[in-house]
Amino acid sequence: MDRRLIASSVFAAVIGAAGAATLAPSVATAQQMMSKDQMMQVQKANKDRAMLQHLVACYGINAAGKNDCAVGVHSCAGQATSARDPASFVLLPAGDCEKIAGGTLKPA
Amino acid sequence: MPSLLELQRGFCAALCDGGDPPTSVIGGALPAAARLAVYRNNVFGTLTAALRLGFPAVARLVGSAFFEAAATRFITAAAPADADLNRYGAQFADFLAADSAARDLAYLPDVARLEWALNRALHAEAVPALTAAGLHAVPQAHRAGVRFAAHPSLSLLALAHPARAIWQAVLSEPEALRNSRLAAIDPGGPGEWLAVLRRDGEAELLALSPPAFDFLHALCQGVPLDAALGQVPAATAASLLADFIGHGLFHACLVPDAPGPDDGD
Repeated sequence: MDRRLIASSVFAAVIGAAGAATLAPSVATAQQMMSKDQMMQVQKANKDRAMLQHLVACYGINAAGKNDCAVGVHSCAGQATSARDPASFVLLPAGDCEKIAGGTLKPA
Repeated sequence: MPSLLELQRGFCAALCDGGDPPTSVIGGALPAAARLAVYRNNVFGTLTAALRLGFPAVARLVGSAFFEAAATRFITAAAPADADLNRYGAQFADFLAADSAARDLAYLPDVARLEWALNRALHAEAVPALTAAGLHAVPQAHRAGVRFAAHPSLSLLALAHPARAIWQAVLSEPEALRNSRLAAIDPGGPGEWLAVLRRDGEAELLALSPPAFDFLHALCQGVPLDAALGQVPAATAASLLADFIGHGLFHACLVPDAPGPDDGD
């Protein structure tokens, strides 16, 4: 079967499958449109489906405030004499990375 | 008297590089350099806060002192090009990868890439996803050569480190859970192939197998369906493509401009 034919049959299968209410659980609709041979292929494919694994929904990022001009933190005059000097910051990471096994840090 | 452009350039250089203020900045109750330092601190404070909001896992991994220092170096190297700070930080991961101070944390740039993808997803333009009905509308003759346009919220990440597990662990609450998850991570563990997008208002992470990733990547690059099928066994292509569409990974499908000679029907 050449690629164009494969593409067409893939397309047909997809329309059927995607036409089902939700995709993940089954390809029931697709099965009605496919030959037994195609069906077996798709079933095998579903078995192999460590392929696409739904992982995490919902990431509670709080993006509000990013564009606020007052997020900052510095009372003006108090910080005026200690402008940050990038060169004075050569530090080691010292956060939760230390809790990862094998993640011990050496001085740079 | 300097031109406005000269004043702006001098002001900007003094802000970003910490150089002497231009002569047109004059002293008062505070000397000129201190006046400029107030401005400088607010610029750096605001941008650092924006980065901290966008990269909470990186910030936790390295601690606040290191994060501030790295952010300061990054801001100096790559000031925002856009007034919308939701769009600031695209180059942060690459900066971390090149930054010698963070080199012991090989996985850190990948965690930053993941966080940037989540940022992108959450702030991308809201456009509808391609549905099966949209596919159905493609004429039979054009189906093999159909191309797909990725949803604007979609990022594809091929990561060399287990960044998702690290990201998930370090943002876990409460602390006891976080610590146990972090302790269970092998930072040298296998990499991951992820699709990140926004769906129904929330960010979604999908783990893909390498062939599925390559297939999706090719389609998102605009490779026509028939050509992209070389990436995966035909048997799995249909279920993968159905999953891609079911997860709303595409925005649209495009029919070929010039149908081939055998597009008869």
